[in-house]
Amino acid sequence: MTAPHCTKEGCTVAETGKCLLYGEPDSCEFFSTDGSGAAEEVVEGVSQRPLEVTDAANPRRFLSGHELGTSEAARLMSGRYTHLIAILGCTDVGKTCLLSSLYLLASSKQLQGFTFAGSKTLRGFEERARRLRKWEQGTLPEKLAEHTTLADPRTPAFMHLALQGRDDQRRYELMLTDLPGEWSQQLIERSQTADRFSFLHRADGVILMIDAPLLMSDTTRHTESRRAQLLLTRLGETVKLDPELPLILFLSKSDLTDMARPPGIAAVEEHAESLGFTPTTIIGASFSQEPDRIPNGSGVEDALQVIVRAEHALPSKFKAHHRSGARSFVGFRHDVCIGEQ
Amino acid sequence: MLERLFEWYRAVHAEPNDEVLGYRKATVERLVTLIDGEEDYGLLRSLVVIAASGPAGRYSQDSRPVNELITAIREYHKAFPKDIEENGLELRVCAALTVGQLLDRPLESTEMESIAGFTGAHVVSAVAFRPLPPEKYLSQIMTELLERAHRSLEDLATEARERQSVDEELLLQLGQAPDPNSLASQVKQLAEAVNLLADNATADREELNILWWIYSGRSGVADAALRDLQPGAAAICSGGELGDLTSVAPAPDNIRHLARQAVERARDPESLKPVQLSSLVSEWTDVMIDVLADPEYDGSLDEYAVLTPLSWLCRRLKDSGLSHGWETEFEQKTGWSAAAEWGPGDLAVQVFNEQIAHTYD
Repeated sequence: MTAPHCTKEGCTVAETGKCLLYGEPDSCEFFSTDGSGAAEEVVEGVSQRPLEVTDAANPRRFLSGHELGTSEAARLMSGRYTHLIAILGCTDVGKTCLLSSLYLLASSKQLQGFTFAGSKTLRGFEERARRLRKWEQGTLPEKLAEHTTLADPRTPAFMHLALQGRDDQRRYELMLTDLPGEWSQQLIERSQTADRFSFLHRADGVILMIDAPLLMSDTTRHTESRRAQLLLTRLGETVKLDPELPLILFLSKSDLTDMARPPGIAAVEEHAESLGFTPTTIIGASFSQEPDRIPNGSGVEDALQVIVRAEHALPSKFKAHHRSGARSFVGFRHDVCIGEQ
Repeated sequence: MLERLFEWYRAVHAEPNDEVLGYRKATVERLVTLIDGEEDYGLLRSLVVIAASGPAGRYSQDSRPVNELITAIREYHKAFPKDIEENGLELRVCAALTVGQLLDRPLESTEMESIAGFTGAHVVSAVAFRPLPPEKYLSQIMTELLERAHRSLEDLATEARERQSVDEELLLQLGQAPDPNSLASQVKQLAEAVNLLADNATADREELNILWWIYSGRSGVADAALRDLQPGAAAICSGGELGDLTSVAPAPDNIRHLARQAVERARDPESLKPVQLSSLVSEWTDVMIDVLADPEYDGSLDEYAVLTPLSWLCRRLKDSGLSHGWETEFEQKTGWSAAAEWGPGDLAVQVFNEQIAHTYD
């Protein structure tokens, strides 16, 4: 593991990951790491390239390892195609738990279709997972993740995960959002906040988290359903999310409802379809109170598979272009589409 | 294609800002100027390869196309990383934008038309039947690029085949006693009229040759009726021979349709169902593979494999005496699978596409 440190007096970046002067340490001249200069944390079984400063005019800048901002994410996206997956939902619905669950499944080799191939935000995942490792009298804490806050409240933060397909050996670079629940809540309440979600126009999939116990309960079903529908309306009509995008309705905490399908989900599905989406509903449990009966991470890999294996409709069914008034010979067409596969 | 800059650039950036988009626009314009000034199409050919398949595995860090791309980007964006492992996808998108711009810009000279024709023919050959990338935003770029190539080629092809009328008044004047004072200009006008008639005759000859070939239903290469050939054999003969008969550049889409029709006509529909490429290839004889096994090629073999995969295969088969075991190397070099299923009509169209691309080499 690399050991970041700072020569600036009073800076606690080594403990907190936050730079005293700039917030993100990678642009700070006092920040450095020990060792040979490896920019990435070594993960057992995963080889890492050593750092090289290839250009004196543009020295390599270190990633903090916590979260990635948009420009840092762009640096990674520049090299390989990256699947951007947005995880949306209101506060305490389980967004961060989904992220943590995915990370833990991947890093402990429990994904059926993928193997872990590294992460540029290992520190961030580890911090999120830390709380889960605090056992009190043998039971999980009621709240498994701390409330998400962003270093810059105006821009999204991304967590990076690289996976390799077990069957196709393809490398999948994933950029997953970890947004505060307030973003979704504010989008519901004020359409003017839709600009924050402009990154969704580059998303490869959206996971909309819905609290299954709330949707199951007679007293809270209507409110939870309504909230999900309003969020979908904002996504469809205000943000103008591409309706062809894979949309997962992830029913979180379903271990508490015996993995039953809440009747209230039907209305949410119908509403999504009325907006032009084709939702996939997954009954899941990122972390289970009864892991012997309902495994941790239930539904998490399914959601990922739907997004990364999605087949995309072509922008338009291409037919050979024909100019009017051209000679009959040039205008001849056999009744098929050119380039149809 | 610059009007699609924002949409295409999203493949590499979640929220591209105006500053970076400005850099990339300038980069594309710089590369277009570079290509316009070249005497051969070497860089352009490489950019089509990079757009179609990415630089990884095809070009090294030190190769000319990678260097040109990075130099053009860093001319405006100093902080752009040099390492191909960090910027490979971005290089691909820049290459695609440049190629698209060469197809999309107003064609104000014959040189620009030639470049557009070369570009379109190679994009169609490389991309039309290449498996689309599974990634959403990349497949969108490839689909739009292919569509633009087809449109550009069709406009050029239709214009090239429009029969022009000779100025009859001019001919009448020349038929009478020529004015000694304007003899030079009249001779020039006469020469232009003759050239115009020659162009018309070439287009007529092309049309007649193709229509007679279609009417006969016979392959000159196989010396047999097309319907008597196996589907894979008919496909390579149809596409190859029609490519040979296409004498006016660029080729119009209708000839692709004719190539497909020639294979499918009077055949049992069962025999037209898609089968593995390797199965269709097994029907080719050594005479047939000569249709595409072009012994001369200007680019590198790896470029050849991406731009004209079946031609690469024919050359490989020719060099190995039609021996088996080509499938693995074919997949590595071309990015196509020997097990992928093809209808014989599609195969004929791809053979035609590659034959046309070769006319520019």
